[in-house]
Amino acid sequence: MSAPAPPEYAGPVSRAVAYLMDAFVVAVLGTGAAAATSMITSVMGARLHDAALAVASVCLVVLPALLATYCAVFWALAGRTPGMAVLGLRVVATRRGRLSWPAALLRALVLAYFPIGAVWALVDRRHQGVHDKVARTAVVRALPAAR
Amino acid sequence: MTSTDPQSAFLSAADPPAGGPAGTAQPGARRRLLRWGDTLVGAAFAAEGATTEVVAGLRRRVDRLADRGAMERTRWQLRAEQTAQAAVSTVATSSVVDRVVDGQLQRVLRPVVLAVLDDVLLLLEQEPERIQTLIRGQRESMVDELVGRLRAGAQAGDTAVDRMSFRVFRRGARPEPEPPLEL
Repeated sequence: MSAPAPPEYAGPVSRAVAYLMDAFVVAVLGTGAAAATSMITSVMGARLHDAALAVASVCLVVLPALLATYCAVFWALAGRTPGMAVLGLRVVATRRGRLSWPAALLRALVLAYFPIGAVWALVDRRHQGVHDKVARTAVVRALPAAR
Repeated sequence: MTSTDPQSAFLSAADPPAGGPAGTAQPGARRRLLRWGDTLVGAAFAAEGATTEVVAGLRRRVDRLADRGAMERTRWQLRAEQTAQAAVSTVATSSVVDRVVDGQLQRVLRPVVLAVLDDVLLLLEQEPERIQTLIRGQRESMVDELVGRLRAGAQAGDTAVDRMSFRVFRRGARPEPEPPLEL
């Protein structure tokens, strides 16, 4: 029986696909919430146009926070978001054994409000972006579960 | 006897006169003999021509009869098919036949279907894992295949981007970093 292959760092394409899937989920949730809010405000008497504008402007601020919360909760609890689970990826801490809640929140906030920092993963040896460097994390390919 | 026939003239020139009374009587007999021969040959050719015309006429008549026979056969075949279809339609839409078929179905088929269905339902109730395993395996295989394709495509993209960025930004051998401590 051969030994399992050593884990490898996930590349930028896999991470980007997983991130886009998570962003799509959050966008769908945020859009649904915004639509519900807009309908409620229009029923309550405010003019629909003003309500829609207000909701759209709020979404621009709220959506990154929503994405950060979503990612932080999943990373801290399971080490992966649903998008990363589909792609077979996992977030791990580079120094300590388990990803902590502060590290997960810091990583999520940096990624949500400074997404351009993820480009550093293109040239980094361990494919770490700025948010990985700050939170001292890395993304690896999860080993397939034995059946 | 004077003759203007060229054949007779040829024969007269070719045969030397034999001289004497017997020699003068022989060419006349030969000419008559030749005339009779020619008459026979002409009659034979006339008979052949007449026979050819008769045979051609018979052949044309036979061909016309064959054409008419083929036409009649096609027409009767078509009429027979139409009759058969009409008979089948009449029988199929007959209320009596409907009642007979319904009665047979009610009497034979319905109990069989109900019995088989009861057996199948009983089997599924006793061994639900058989159908559950089947459905689960089908679903899991489809999802696994989709996810596998997605992962393989993303990994290929990772490799391509990695190779390109390494070619652009680095030189020498590519270092392989150690895996994280958690792993």
